[in-house]
Amino acid sequence: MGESRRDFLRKIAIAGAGAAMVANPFGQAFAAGGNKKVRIAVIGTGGRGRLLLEHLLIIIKEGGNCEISAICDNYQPSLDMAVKLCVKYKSKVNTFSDYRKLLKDNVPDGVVIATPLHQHAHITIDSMNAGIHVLVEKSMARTLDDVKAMYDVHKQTGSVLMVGHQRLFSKRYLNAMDRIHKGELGEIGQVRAYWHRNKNWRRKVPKDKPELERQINWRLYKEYSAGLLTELMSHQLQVANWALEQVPVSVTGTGSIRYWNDGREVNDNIAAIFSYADGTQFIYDSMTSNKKYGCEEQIMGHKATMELETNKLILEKPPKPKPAPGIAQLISDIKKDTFQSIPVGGASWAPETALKYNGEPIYNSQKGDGTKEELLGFVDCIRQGKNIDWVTAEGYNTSIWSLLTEQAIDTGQKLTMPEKYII
Amino acid sequence: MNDIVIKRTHIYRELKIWLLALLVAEGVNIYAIIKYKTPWVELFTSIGFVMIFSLIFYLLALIFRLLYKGFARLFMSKA
Ligand SMILES: NC(=O)c1ccc[n+]([C@@H]2O[C@H](COP(=O)([O-])OP(=O)(O)OC[C@H]3O[C@@H](n4cnc5c(N)ncnc54)[C@H](O)[C@@H]3O)[C@@H](O)[C@H]2O)c1
Repeated sequence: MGESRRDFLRKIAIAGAGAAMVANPFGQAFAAGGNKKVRIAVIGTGGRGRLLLEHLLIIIKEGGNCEISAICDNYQPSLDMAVKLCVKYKSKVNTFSDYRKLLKDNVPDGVVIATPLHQHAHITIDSMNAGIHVLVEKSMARTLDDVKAMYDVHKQTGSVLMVGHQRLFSKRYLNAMDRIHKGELGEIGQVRAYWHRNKNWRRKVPKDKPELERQINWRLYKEYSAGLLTELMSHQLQVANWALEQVPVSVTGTGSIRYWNDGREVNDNIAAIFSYADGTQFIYDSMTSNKKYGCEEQIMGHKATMELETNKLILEKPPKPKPAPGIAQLISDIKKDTFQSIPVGGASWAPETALKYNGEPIYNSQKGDGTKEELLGFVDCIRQGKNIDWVTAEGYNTSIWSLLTEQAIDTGQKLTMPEKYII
Repeated sequence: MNDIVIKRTHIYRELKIWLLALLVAEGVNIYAIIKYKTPWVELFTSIGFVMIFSLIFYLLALIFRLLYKGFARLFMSKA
C-alpha cells in the first residue's frame, strides 16, 4: 500500500526539471483520485495552525480540489483570528471548540492537527479511529508510549498518518537527499546541526487571566513539551536520519536553564550526540541567547559538504578557476619577481582555518520551506487512500529519538531505543 | 619655422619597425604559452596583449632611436 522511499525520491528526481510537479511532489495523484473535493478540518488554530490554514486557503484559491470543512480551537481568540483569515479568503467555514464534536458532526476526510504537543496523541487517535486521515504537527506526542500508540492505531485503521516535518516535501531537500544517497558527498563521517536563537519563547498572557499562563506558554513546561528537543531539534534530527538513511543506535546529551531563568522548566540550551550503527555521528546543539550562527544542517562527506538550510554544496576540492592567459601570467610573475619583498622569517605552520570558498547552490527553485507541498501531499494521500509509509516512519523515529534525548539529558545516561518502540 | 615633411620612406620604415615589435611581442606570447602550458589558441585570443606589448616595444625603440640621434647630432656638431 505504501510507496517506498526510493520510488518517491525517483519520482521527485525525475520531476526535478519539470514544472508540472513543482507544486505537488506526489505528481499525477490529483487526476488519479477522481474529482471529489477533499474536506479538511484544522484543529488548533494558534500560530502554526493559522499558517497551515492559510496555505490550504491559498491551495483552494489556486484551484486545488479541496475545501476547509471546519476549524476548531478551544481558545476563542485563536478561533476568531482563524475565522478572520477564512473571511479574507472568502471561505465559509464551520467552527468548533470541541474537536470531538467536530469529528462527529462535521466528519471531514482529513484533519490537520496543530495543537500543543501534549494534545496531539488523543486527538490523532480519536480521528483515526473515526476513519479520518491525519496530518499532525511534529513532534508526535509528549510520551514514548503515546507516540507508539498513535503509530499502532494508524496501522490498525489504515488511516493516513503524516507528521509535520515539512522539509520532507521541500524540493531543495528532496534534491539534496537524492544526491547524498547517490554518493555525491562520498562517505559521510558526521552530520552537524544547530539552531541558535536570541529570543524568549515566553508569550504574553492577558493580565486579567493569569490562569492561562500554562496553556499559552505550554512550550516552557515539561508537562506539555520537551522544549528545544521536540520543537526545534526534531526537525534537524529528521534531516540527519534522512540523509544517513538510518536511525541512531544511541544518544547522550546535556542541557540547562542558563539564561532565561524565569520559572520555565525546559532547558534553554542543549547539546546532544547521536551515534549510528556505521560509526557516523550526529552532533547537535541549540541555544536561545545567541543567534550568530542561526540554523543549519551540515552533512559532511569525504568529497563534499552540504549545508541545507542555506542551500550550499561545498566541494572538498574546490573547482580550480580558469587559468589566466599565459602572457598575463608572465606579466604577473615578472611583477612579483620585481616588486615582492623577500621574507626573512615567518610562520612555518598555517592554522587549518575554514576554507574561504563558499560553494555553489544545491537547488534554487524551492519557494518556501515545504509546508505548502506537505499539505498538497496530504490532500493527495487522502484522495488516493494511500499512506507514504517511510514518511510516517521518519516522523515516528524522530519523535521517539527526540524524547529519548530528553531522557538522556535528564538522567545523564547514554540511551538506546527500547525494543518495544522499534517498528 | 620649417615645414615637417614626412616621406613615404619614413612611414615604411616606421611600419617595418612596428612589425618587428609585433613579431617580438608574439614571440613573448609563444614563450608564455609554452612556459605556462596554456592552450595554443591564445596565439589569437591574446592578440590584445600582443598589440599592447608591440606598442610598448615600438615606443621603447623610438626612445632609443631619438636618444641615439640626439647624441649623434651633439657629437657631430662638436666635431
Ligand atoms: N512544523 C513547523 O515548522 C512548526 C512550527 C511551529 C509550531 N509547530 C507545531 O505546531 C503545534 C502548535 O504550535 P503553535 O506554535 O501553533 O502553538 P500555539 O500555542 O500558538 O497554538 C496551539 C493552539 O491549539 C489550541 N488548542 C489547545 N488544545 C486544544 C484542543 N484540545 N482542541 C483544539 N484546540 C486546542 C490552543 O488554544 C492554541 O490556539 C506544536 O506541536 C508545534 O510544535 C510546528
